[in-house]
Amino acid sequence: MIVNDIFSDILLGLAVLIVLASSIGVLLMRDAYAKLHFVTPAGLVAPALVVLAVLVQHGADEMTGEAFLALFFMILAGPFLSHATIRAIRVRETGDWRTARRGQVPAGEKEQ
Amino acid sequence: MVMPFVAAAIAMLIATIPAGVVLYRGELAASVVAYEFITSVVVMVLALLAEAFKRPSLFELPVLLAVLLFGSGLVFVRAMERWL
Repeated sequence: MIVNDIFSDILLGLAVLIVLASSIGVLLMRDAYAKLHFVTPAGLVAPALVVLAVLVQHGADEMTGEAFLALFFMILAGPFLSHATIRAIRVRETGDWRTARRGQVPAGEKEQ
Repeated sequence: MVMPFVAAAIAMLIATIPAGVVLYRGELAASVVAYEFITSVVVMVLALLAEAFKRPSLFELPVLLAVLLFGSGLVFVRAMERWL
């Protein structure tokens, strides 16, 4: 049991370090595109470490199952949300998410 | 083994302070990113507290918030894209 406790503590410590580093990254990066890179470690890696810590403490039981369920939803949501956020920021900045080639007006915009 | 999980939950809440500063002071796009970050961390905090106090029923909260994270994030993102 002591080995399990130590292993669980190490996993929790790693998760906290990742969240702390990511939060500082969100604060220090220049624009929203760069800040978004630091959401992924806190949204995917740290939860996986927390769920592993719960698994080490409890083994396969009800609480571990629900923790895995929460992790599953976060893994599912993370990439979609990141993509949607980048797309929205780009639409706000340029009016269209597609890359316009030089001299070409993006579809949906009228040429003047 | 209550203490490590509670300590981790408290440490994670403290770690959200820099992102909270961005949420409060940053421009709109950066605030949405900080909101997504903080929601992800709160899912973990709820899971850690449920584990710390050995309440299996409380594990429904992080599961629910993980589902809502997707929906609420998309609502904010679409609002930012279209109206804000």
